[in-house]
Amino acid sequence: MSTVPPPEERDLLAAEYALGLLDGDALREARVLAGSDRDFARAVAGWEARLAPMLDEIEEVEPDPGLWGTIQRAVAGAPVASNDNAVQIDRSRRRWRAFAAGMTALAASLALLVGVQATRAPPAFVPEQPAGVLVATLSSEQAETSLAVAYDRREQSLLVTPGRLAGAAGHDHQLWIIPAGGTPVSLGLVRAGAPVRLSVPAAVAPHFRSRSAVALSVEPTGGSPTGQPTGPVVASGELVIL
Amino acid sequence: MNRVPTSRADEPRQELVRALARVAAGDKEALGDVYRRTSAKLFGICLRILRDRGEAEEALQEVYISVWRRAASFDPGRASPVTWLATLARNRAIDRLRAAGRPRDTDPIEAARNLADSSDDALTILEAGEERARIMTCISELEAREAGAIRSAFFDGYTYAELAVRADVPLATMKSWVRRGLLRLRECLER
Repeated sequence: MSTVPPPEERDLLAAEYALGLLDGDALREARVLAGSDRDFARAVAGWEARLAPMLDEIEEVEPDPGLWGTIQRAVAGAPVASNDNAVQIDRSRRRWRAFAAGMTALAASLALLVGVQATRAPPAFVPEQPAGVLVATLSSEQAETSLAVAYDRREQSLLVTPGRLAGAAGHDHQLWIIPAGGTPVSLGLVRAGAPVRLSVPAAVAPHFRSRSAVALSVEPTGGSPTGQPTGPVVASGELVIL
Repeated sequence: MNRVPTSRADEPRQELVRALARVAAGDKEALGDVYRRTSAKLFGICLRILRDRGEAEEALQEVYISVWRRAASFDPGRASPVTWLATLARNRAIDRLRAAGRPRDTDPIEAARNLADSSDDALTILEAGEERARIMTCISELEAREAGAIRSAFFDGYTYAELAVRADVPLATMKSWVRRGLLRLRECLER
């Protein structure tokens, strides 16, 4: 399914992704590629740079003078994101939108489920990093698949809450973490039903950081035989610090 | 560090690069600096794509919040700051357009404009900036249907499937038009 396209095909795919021509599975696969393959991400950036001068034909328009104040207020509380290779996975535009929409409710429920400790720190202590819980919502374009994951650093475990998970006979869903600029690492199989807690091996734990991508692929029963995703990615999301 | 002497025209670009570096370090005043230098351009982009002032203002806010969060991912060795910012604005505006479910069917005037713009006359090209002139020249060398599809995707966020419906051709036909256009565009820009 996700065969590696030859270079020419890849560059065209990067162009299609940069232009926003793709949808469905093709879009999801390109997105995972953009988040996991440095060369592909570079090709996307190359096309963006080629096309951007077209924007020069657009006339400048002064925005409402009050807008800057709104932005300042929005920025006032927000922490600066970590800067590690953020550029690739930042292209996850839809994910970001899904995140913005669902985050408040999700954050509240996951914080309760995963680590109330995070909010229990003595008020005098202000940690450098916000509370150590990383969460991601995974969704597909048409939201036919959705799930939420929360990583507990202290326990090195991942709480997986399946939302919608369409079962397919003879297939399993496999969860992956994709460090920025890295290759997918399996986190285990996920099935519809109640939330499950997966333990994360010490070797994999360092991948759990803000802005790593988490993706769900459809694999043969028992999981991918190759150790890398072989089936289509049906949902993906980005880890954020809660 | 080697300091390449910069021409006068380069100076605003260098200042923007420096301001973004300060934003990456968490300097809120630097964000204001970036905003003052670029908001009219980026607002123009949002407005052109969204064609609704309220929507464009929302998009612009999201753009600068993204700049605040992501300035560290800007690599001045790889892209000009204006390209980076303009692309961010374009992508954000297209996202909003899609999230809104695209209520409008592209009006015929815009469709005609996408075609007309693809064959700018020599004088218009001469008056444009160098980078813009190059892409205009290269787009004008494409067949009208290829150029029209690429421009519609770029400015209006149409996917292959949507472009095919609008042009009333099979999906595979639309893909081959666009892909041929993209290959020729790349070749022309590399010349």
